[in-house]
Amino acid sequence: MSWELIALLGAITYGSRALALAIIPPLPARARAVLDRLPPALFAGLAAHSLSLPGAGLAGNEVVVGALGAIAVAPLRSLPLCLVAGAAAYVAYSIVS
Amino acid sequence: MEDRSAGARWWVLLPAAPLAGAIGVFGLVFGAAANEQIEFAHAVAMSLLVFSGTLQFATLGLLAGGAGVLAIVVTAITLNLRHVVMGAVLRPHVEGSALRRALLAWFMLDESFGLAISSRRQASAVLLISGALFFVAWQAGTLLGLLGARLVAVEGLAAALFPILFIGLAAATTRGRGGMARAVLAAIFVLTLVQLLPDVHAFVPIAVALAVAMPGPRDR
Repeated sequence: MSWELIALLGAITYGSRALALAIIPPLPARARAVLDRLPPALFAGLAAHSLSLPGAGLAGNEVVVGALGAIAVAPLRSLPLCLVAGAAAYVAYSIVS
Repeated sequence: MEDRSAGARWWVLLPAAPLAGAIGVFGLVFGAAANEQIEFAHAVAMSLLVFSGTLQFATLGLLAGGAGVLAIVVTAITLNLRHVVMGAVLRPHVEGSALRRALLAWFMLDESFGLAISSRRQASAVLLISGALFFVAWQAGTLLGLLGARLVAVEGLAAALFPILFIGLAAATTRGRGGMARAVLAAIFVLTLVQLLPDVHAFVPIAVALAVAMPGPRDR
């Protein structure tokens, strides 16, 4: 590890964050329509990714049960409720298992 | 026009508090792991300048495996590609000059992006406040981990909070049956592809999201 590598990693990371948000001009309407449809799919994909052990199945039972708790209240479309239900399911499973 | 209601803003930020706690715990785990591999000052500088848990853990893993600079840089570019798409999604909701948006970009993590995009009209304020909260939590966690602190009892819950958060964000941003179908499809594809393509797993969620978002009209 060197100072130069740390600076380079910082520049790559910040550059990726700033590129579309601050540097390049807004995208055309057609591309924006696709991007508008992106968040639910992206978040569902990130949830699935964080529940997975690449090439080795799913994360631990407690984590999966926590996710199921959040999915159970997902139709209510409330982020705070999902957090509370998911954490409660995780804690409940941890206690009984 | 942004909604300046402080009450509404703080209500939106309520979920940021437990996430900051989880990010702090992971910062602590990073600090502990870094303590055994790299110099104290390098670990502190990395958290301050890179501020990306995914990349920082990946870098430690690569260093432990004896990887060279090129492998680390290619990994950094691959892992960070999703930020470009997130920035493009968030761009219409973040007002102000290019300089202001460039400053806000510093705070765009997966988690703060999610909170900002689910708040829509308050996106700038939510990105700034939640991102700053996560930054402080990550730095404090790193420092405590480097100094030898451990929080084994809550590491499991901290790990479980991230999928729970993303499920909540998917629920909060889904509109109509089309949006729900895309979310379910994306989750199934990612669960499958991460098992089939473990070497490129970090790139899978954004590639799948783009693929399922392409077809169809807007979901209103």
